[in-house]
Amino acid sequence: MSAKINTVLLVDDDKATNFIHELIIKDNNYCNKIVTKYDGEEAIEFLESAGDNDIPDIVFLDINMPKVDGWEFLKKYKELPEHKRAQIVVVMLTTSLNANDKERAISNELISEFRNKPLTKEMLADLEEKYFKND
Amino acid sequence: MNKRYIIGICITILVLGINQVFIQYWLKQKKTDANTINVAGKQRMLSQRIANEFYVIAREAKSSVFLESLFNQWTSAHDLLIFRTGNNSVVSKEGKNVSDQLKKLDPYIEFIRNQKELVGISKADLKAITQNQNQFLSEMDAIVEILENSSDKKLSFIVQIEYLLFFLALLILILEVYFIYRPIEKKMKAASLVLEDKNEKLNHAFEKIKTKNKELNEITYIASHDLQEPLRTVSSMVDIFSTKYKDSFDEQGRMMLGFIESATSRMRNLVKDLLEYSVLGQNKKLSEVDCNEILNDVKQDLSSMISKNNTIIKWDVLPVVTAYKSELRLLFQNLISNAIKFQYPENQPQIEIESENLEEYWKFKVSDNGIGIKEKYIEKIFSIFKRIHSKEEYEGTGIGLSHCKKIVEMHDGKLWVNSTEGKGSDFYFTIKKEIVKFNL
Repeated sequence: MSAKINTVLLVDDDKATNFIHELIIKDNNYCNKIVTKYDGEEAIEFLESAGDNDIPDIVFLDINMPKVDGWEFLKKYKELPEHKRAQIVVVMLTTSLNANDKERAISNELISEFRNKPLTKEMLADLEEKYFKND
Repeated sequence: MNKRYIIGICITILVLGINQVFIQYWLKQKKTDANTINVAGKQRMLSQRIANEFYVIAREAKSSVFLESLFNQWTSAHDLLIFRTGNNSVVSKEGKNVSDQLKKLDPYIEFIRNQKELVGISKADLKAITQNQNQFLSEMDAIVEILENSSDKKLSFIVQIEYLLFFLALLILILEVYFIYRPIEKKMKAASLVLEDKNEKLNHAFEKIKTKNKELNEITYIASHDLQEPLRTVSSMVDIFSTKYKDSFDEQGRMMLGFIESATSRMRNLVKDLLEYSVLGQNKKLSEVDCNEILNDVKQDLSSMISKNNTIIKWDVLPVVTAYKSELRLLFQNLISNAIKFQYPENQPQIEIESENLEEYWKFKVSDNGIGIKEKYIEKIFSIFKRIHSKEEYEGTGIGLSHCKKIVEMHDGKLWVNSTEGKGSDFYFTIKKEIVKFNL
């Protein structure tokens, strides 16, 4: 059985978090393919080189990462060609309690959602309902 | 306000200046008048002496040697008087001009000039001379009186002006006080009230900050301290769990157990660091600290790390400073262990410590030949738990430089870094020579 969502990109520096997120996504048969990157730089490199079939539908993005953090990732993300970005839903996923981060996320047009970690079954269903209902 | 104040002072100075000019004029006038009156008196005296000479001539029946010179003095005094009063300004009450009066004296002088030629003097001649003399004296008296009156009149005019100026100055002073100085004083009083109020508010705010800061420190302390307890339980349980049941798990289960173990140990480190950060400097004491001694201690403490990496640590003679000893030691220890840690595996770490004596501060430099810092990370590295490398590359929670910053700020100084990526970093910090004890 094929899922509605084709590819999910996980961007987080914490291996355990990525492991848990992968597990939840797989257990819910949420998508066909999961790509995991451990910092913003790797993620951007992946998006730059990705062919049309590899472009993810959802990016779950962490804020606090070494090297290129979530905000810097978004700066570089903005420079990607329009057609690559068109189908991507960016979900900022964080443990940050920082009110500034939330403000910043809401006012950033590149971010579709701002959610707290960890990913849950309900959150995944909610996102699918919201963005992929008619696919 | 300021302008009015200056104008007020200028007016006062102007009035005082005018006053002074009048006083000077008054003094000069008085001197001239006194002089003129003096000449007139002398003239009277001379005429009497001349008359006297005639008596001597008549009694001793011979000519006088003095007569000629007395007469010459007499006529020159007469000319001087005419010259002095020549501007027709000195006038009697009845409107008689002194110059005209003086000219009326000419016949008397002419009479005496004629008598001078006499060889023998008869009684009738003497009588005529005496009469001439008496009339001259009475004319002279009248002239002196006119001169004196005129001088008095002038003086009383000047005195009146003086009074006027005095009252004018007084009036201006009163007006200035009322319209300029009093409003200024009022404004200053109001301003000082505002200042006092602000000061009080500031004090209040400061007290509030002090309380808040104390609360914050307590919360950090309690949170990290109380977190340790359950965390220890989790950690021990996982340890036991792992040794006892690891082999009964499949691959994924063992992986999960591994994640739990590493997350627990990371959390223990974080909590431990946070606790250390919160109590840092809580029982600090200022003392004379020999930096050379401190560095030797640090070298001792880090000896295994130093020998493992074959590290070279160099310093010239460093100063003895007034500082918080154990905190300063921790500062050097953090900076040096960072310098050893952030190094290419194949490189031999070389660390150099220098000091500089500034006016108010001691400045220290800890330089290394390590990996350096990318420019864009330079601001981030001092934030608490901020890491710019992955945990796999360089271990640690990312609290070291926050500790350093806190310690330097305790010493009223600054901490900063100059770095070239790939070549090394120079960490600088200053500590104040006279630390203000300002317990927040």
